[in-house]
Amino acid sequence: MSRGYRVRMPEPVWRNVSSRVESVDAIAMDVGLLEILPEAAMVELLRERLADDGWARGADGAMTRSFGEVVVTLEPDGRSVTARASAAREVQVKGVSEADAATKLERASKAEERDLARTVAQRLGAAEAEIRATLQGALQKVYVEALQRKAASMGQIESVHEGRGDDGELELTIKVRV
Amino acid sequence: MSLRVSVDEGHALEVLDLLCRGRAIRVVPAQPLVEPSPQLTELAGRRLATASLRLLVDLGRREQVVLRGGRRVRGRVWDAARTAGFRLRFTAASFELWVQTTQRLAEISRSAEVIEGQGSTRRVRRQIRRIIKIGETDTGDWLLYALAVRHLERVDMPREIREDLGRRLCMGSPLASLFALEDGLAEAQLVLGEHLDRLLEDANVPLLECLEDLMAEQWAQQISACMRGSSGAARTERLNVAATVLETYVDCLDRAGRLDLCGALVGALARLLAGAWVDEPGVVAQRVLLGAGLHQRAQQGALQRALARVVQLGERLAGLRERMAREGFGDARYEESQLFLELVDVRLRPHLPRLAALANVLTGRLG
Repeated sequence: MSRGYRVRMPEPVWRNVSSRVESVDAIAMDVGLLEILPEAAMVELLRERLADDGWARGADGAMTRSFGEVVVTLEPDGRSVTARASAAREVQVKGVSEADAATKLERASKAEERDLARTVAQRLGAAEAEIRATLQGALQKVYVEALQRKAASMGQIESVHEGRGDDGELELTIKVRV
Repeated sequence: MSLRVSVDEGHALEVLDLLCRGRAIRVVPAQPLVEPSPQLTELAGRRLATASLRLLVDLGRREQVVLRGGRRVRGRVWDAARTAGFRLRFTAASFELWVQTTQRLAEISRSAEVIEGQGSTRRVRRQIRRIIKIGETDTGDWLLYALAVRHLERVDMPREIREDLGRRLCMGSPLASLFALEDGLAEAQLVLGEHLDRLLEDANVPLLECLEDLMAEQWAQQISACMRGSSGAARTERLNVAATVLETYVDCLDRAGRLDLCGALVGALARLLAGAWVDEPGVVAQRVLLGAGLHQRAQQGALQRALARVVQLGERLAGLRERMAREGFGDARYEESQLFLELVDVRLRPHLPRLAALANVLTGRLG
């Protein structure tokens, strides 16, 4: 034999809450310029080469360029480069009470933060090789120009020959009449 | 002299052996000794003096060229010309360390004495203050405290309690600060540089000269340990503190005109290159991140840069070499410069390319 029961369930009053989650990440790279010319002159040469490659010059001497969603900045002192990426998302949850909603929001925000951090790190990792190649290319041009200026200060340049060594490295031969 | 000792007295002597020789404690006391008899105290005193002197003699028996009054002096540690004015003095602090460790070590080593996220309990910190006196310590105490830092690593106890013990030992001994590569002296209102300067006073400097090899081994072990086994944030903090202590030590040596004492640092770097840093730079840079639980590139970069600060000490010494090479005959630091140049050229220079390559990878250096 069975009996039926009627249970009255109160209609829950849903509370919607949301928050914005943001994740910012960065890679820092030191710039180790050889002191062929005084440091300030070497940094200025680097700024000029980067400007030729489409980098924007800031008022404080910093240089900036975007590589996709990654913003790369040469610091004003020219000693380091920072690549920054960020991502943000809206997290929405609903709970039966304010406390319940707050707990759920906190949990969801943390999960979202982890996910965003992974996404941003992947974004940086994907752009890193291109950023490094661009900067190394600019640095190589800086060295060539610095060597030419140094040679010019020593005497009259008779010839400049650029070639590649067996290992593929740039080789520069400058003949100077002293 | 013959002396019959009880089990509890035997335990007390084993505690002393643990502190100064690193021997394991095997005797289980019925009741840890509270007040040692005069005979036992005398025996312990002799044991401590013998163990300490033996260590210095064993490590310092190599013929060495050192600076005395700005002139080069060649000799072994027992030659009067090398140790004039040096006394290994133990104060009541060493006695207290022995007696209080005998009474309290087992009690404070329990994992129940750690509150998660907060470190040691207040009770343990109070006990540690009783065990380790930090005022009016002298050379013998400094050596015993430094050896205690090294040997307590082998005692099974929670990391937090070991770190608290280590920090307190550092407050009472500049030599312990070097062994532990630990700063944290603010509680005792001490400044790291001034604390280490005491070791470079003429009467105390033989300690550093004798302990060069032991310090090199200790530092290599400490840096290797910092690279693994804890959270990423803890690794970063530990490596930064270690780098700060080593950088400050080099500053002190430079200020005191004793850069010739950089041998321990050169030895540590060489040991690391043969151990924890033996692989390709890229592999080492990744290994320090293993198990660190760092997901953000910025956090990973901070950890690698903290390690780079230690690696770049080689570059710093090479830079100092260039400066010291300009010291001419008759200049104030000429004698020191000759010893330092030999140290860098013979022992450090062969390692510089590998140190530079590792630093480049760790800092992501361009150019």
